[in-house]
Amino acid sequence: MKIFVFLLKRATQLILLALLVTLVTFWLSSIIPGDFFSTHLLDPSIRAETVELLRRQYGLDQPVHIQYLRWMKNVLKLDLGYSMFYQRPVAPIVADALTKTLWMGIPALGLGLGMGVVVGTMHGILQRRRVGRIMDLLSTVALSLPSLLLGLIALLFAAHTHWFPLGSMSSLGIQDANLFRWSVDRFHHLILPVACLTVPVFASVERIQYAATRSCHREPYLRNAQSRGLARRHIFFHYILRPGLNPVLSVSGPMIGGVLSGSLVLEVIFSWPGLGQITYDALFNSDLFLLTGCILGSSFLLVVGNLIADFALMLFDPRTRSLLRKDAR
Amino acid sequence: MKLPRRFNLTLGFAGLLVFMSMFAEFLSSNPPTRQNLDNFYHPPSRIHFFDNNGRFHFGPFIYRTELAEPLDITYRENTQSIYPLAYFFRGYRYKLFGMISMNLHLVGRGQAPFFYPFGTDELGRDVLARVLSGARTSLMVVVLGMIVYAVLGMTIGSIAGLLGGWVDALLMRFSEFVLALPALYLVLALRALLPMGIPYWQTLFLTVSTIAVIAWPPMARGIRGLILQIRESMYVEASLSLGAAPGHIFLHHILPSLLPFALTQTVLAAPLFLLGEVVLSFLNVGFRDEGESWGSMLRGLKDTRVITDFWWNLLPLALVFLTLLFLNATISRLSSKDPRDQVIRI
Repeated sequence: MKIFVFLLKRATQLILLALLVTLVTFWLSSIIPGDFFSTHLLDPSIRAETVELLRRQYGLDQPVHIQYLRWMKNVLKLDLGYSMFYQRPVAPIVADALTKTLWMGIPALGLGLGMGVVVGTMHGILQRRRVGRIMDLLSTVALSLPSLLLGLIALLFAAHTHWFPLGSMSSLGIQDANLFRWSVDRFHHLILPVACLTVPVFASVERIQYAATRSCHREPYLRNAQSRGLARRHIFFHYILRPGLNPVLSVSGPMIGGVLSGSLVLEVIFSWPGLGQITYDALFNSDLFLLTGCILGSSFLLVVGNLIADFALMLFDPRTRSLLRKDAR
Repeated sequence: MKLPRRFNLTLGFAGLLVFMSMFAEFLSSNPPTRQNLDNFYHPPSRIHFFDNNGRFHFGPFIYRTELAEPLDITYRENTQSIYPLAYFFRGYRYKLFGMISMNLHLVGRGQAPFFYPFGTDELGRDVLARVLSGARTSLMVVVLGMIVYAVLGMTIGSIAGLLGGWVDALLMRFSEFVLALPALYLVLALRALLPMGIPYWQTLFLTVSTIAVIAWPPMARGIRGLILQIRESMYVEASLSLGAAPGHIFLHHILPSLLPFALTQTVLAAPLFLLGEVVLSFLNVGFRDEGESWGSMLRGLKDTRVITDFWWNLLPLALVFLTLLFLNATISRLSSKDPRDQVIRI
């Protein structure tokens, strides 16, 4: 029960802070000159009065604090405003883009975390052997391959071999095909972006897991377990792997932020219509409500991810549960 | 202080980068900003030793090229006459270190046909010259970024650690919040909402500071933790009992013991700034054409055709990778204690 109180407290904290970010967005957008309708003024076929009317409709003629309070009032009713560019409510656009980002993000995060933990542990155990040295080198190389570089290289690869599509989410006309063909096509389109996103996640996780495993080797409880004559397999799972998971789980929350950032770049490269792409477009169209909605959407993703990470940490590592009593106060 | 031998390679690479960016104009033969619309997407100039009749020439030479297929953008060599390359020749004028006026260049040709060792981009600008002058910008971002990061992180961390109480609680909550943000979204929004099309130095300053605003928490949190530890230590207590002023204790007892951690943490942040600049410029919110950087050169790669047919434009990518590799190799030699304070970047 205490766990849930703690998680609830953390969730409200994070949500309040996310709203703070939206305030900053509004404030910054009021500082820069011009809004979405500024370019309309250059169009001779639109009268200045019309632009004024449009501004009034969207409430852009009000001072920024009034704008924000109005927006806030609507958010409480789960209405994120109206996108000026798409001429549609923001909430469905953001929700749609969010799911498209998750198509890419969840497999990458899962694969990266899983492979990172396994390889990192192996690396930690084998560090003194020759294999360990090779792994040192490989992990440094993997760490130096950010998603931007990988994305461009993957594009080069796809263009030369014609094995993979050059971006976008699905082939033309695939919506009419049956479910099997649709999923094969989606999988085909997913391979490259997911691979490019997985490598950086994998590299960070591997590095952290390696460090954790190595520090476990120095702990006295490990020597104690060995001297008690426990089986090697038992020692590995209970005395090396389990305590070693703590650091990885505690960074997996912030890691979700990293995945989001990486997916932004990859979405632009692979023209994947996800949250990153939408945010990018909204920024350059100065589509204020959509931009704020996108930032809120990504913060929401982060809050959920962080909560899951906290929960997993408490599930796996009893030491954090004992800290809870101190924290909850 | 003598550095261990295992740092030799990394130091060598750092020296090479600095050398490259300092002598950028000397090492290339064309001005980085000169457009040549007759030679757009020109492949790397082929260096020959044997001419058309199979005769050997002692000095390497190049041929004049002409556009063979305007739609495919392929060039054909005209083997009528040969153009030997010159060494230490006098080409366009530039300022070495921004001060000494010079016109000496290492290798190339000062006049048509121009020598393009790594080809040209969509406007016929020399890729090598642009990469070299871009190295200057990118390295400047990294160095300035490390300084700003160190100062910002240490200041916030020291304030939190020394004052304690509600200031500490507030700053630490705030740092947790910044850590939990989707960093790139925020940096992008910040940078895009700030003015664009501004002079080079302002762009440099804005790029560095927007990244630093997102990056400071690991440094600040680490510094705060250390200060809390040191405050409880015997030597601080002894110093206090001898009547030392708080300022004296901070300068002479606390600050020196913070330095090793601060230095390590600063080096850890270097890839973040390199990558941040590249990503921001790639997404059109960083450096523009007047002041090149590696990231802004990559902008042209959004066009798939450039990647497939004009692959020499990928040169900045290779350099970004090598620099990251060098930074990571340096970092893996410095170990961080708490993985929570590791800088995460994707």
